[in-house]
Amino acid sequence: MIRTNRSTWSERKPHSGSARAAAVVTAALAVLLLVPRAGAALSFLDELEIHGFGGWAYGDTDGLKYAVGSSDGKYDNAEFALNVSARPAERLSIVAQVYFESDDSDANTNQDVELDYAFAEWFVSDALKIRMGRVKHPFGLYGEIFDVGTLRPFYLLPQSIYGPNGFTAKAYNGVGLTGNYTLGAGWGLQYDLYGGEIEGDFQVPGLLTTVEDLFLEPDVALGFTVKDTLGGRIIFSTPIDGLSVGASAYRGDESVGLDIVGDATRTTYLGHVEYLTDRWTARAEWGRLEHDVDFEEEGGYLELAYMLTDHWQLAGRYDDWDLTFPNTNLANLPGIVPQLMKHQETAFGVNYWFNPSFVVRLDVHQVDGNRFAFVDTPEQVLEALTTDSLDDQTQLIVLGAQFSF
Amino acid sequence: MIRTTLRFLAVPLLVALGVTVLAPAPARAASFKLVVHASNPVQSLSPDQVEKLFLKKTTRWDTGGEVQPVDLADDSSVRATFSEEILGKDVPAVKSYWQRMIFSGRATPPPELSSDAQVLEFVRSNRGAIGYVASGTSVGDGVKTVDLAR
Repeated sequence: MIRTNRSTWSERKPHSGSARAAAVVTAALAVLLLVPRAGAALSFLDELEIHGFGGWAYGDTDGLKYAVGSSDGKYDNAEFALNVSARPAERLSIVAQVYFESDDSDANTNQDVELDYAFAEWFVSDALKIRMGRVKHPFGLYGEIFDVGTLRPFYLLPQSIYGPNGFTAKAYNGVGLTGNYTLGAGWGLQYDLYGGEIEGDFQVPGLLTTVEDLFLEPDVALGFTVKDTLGGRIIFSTPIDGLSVGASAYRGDESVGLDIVGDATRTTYLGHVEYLTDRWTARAEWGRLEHDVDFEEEGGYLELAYMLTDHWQLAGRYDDWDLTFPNTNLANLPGIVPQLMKHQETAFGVNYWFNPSFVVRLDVHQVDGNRFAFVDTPEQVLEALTTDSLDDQTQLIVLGAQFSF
Repeated sequence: MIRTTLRFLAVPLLVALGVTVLAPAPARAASFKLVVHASNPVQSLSPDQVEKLFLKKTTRWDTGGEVQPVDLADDSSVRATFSEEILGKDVPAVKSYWQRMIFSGRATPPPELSSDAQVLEFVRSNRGAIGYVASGTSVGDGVKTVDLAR
């Protein structure tokens, strides 16, 4: 994998700022923990809560590299996050989260430490809270709990919506409003409205960058920034206990870290349904991304899980995502290009929950297409181009554990 | 390599799964009563209102004060009954709900106390508090019982 515009990329303000901010938050946390619990600090510290989550996985594929797996088995998949919340005043909450990752080669981050979010929330009423700062991105069902493994049935999130396609981001930098209403007759409403900037990474096979110098790269990580973003999410809880339906969307001016792709308007929208009971977990999302006339992406997933006992859970998922270039003539490109634009995945998992805060997993994924399943080296790309042939089937097995506190 | 890994893992997993599926589920039974600070004017609450208070969807009393729910420890049979009957979820599902709230930066869970006596002391010491204790527990001064209007 390579990153384009590396000098520009590494100097990008949000990322360098994130690293500094993460260090500041970590240092501040250390100071807070070391402060003697006495005197004036006592009431504030009593309102301070520290939580965290993390995980580790071993991933093994039958050929290509995909997500946490590689053909020779990959052990270096560990992550940890520290979450701090404080209430310095009755109506004021401060929340921050720092994320550490052992392997920085995926497209969700270009560094091993990052500031997930840090924001202040002012309580006006249950129906209106004002948020400012770097705020968790309220997008879809998993947008705000991106890396929290104990809140999902698989080690990996559905790659269609939350994978390395840059469909969403972990946070927005800006201002937001949130709140919840009781609508009566068993209905409820939670809303989010926000404005600001979204930035993140996405990953594509080198061929799809349409940049000659990058053709032989197995995959290329590109940064994107969506400025002047306006977005929102609405979730209705229904009279059926555990069932909620909703929609998310945002729109803004996008720039991509690749000279050949011009600035454009990015529009995304997503529908989501969730059904949660003590035993059943069912989630489905379907979304679409439009980058003006340059490219479009569309897809979604269906995910089901059932607790057989208080500890054992079975899970299944179907995931589908397609990339299209509506105004680009792909006829001159090699015949393997269509499979680089497609991702279909079926996954099954067995989980053992020691308790709601610790789970051990065994997941098996069958992937069709190479949108997210890449070869390892430029030599393998050259071989694929020469023979116009690339294995479009990838199997991944993941053995891992995830925890939270 | 992937086939070897699968074969290595499949047998012990299936055996362990079979043993656990056949294990009996633990029994639960314990009734509860709701308690608030003696100065709180509320006389009765519906299950829906109690659910919103304990899940922090409603965070202010009608009088304007902040609601301070308090839970019993997660191994309490009283809490198991309260969670099933009022929150409509078992305790692990409630734990997952709070994980979601914490890590999305939206709310933090109520404190968990290990005995009815500690819950009553918490309620006695906090004007906005609401808790639940075993139905046979004597609440004493400074705490009053609230009717559950089912």
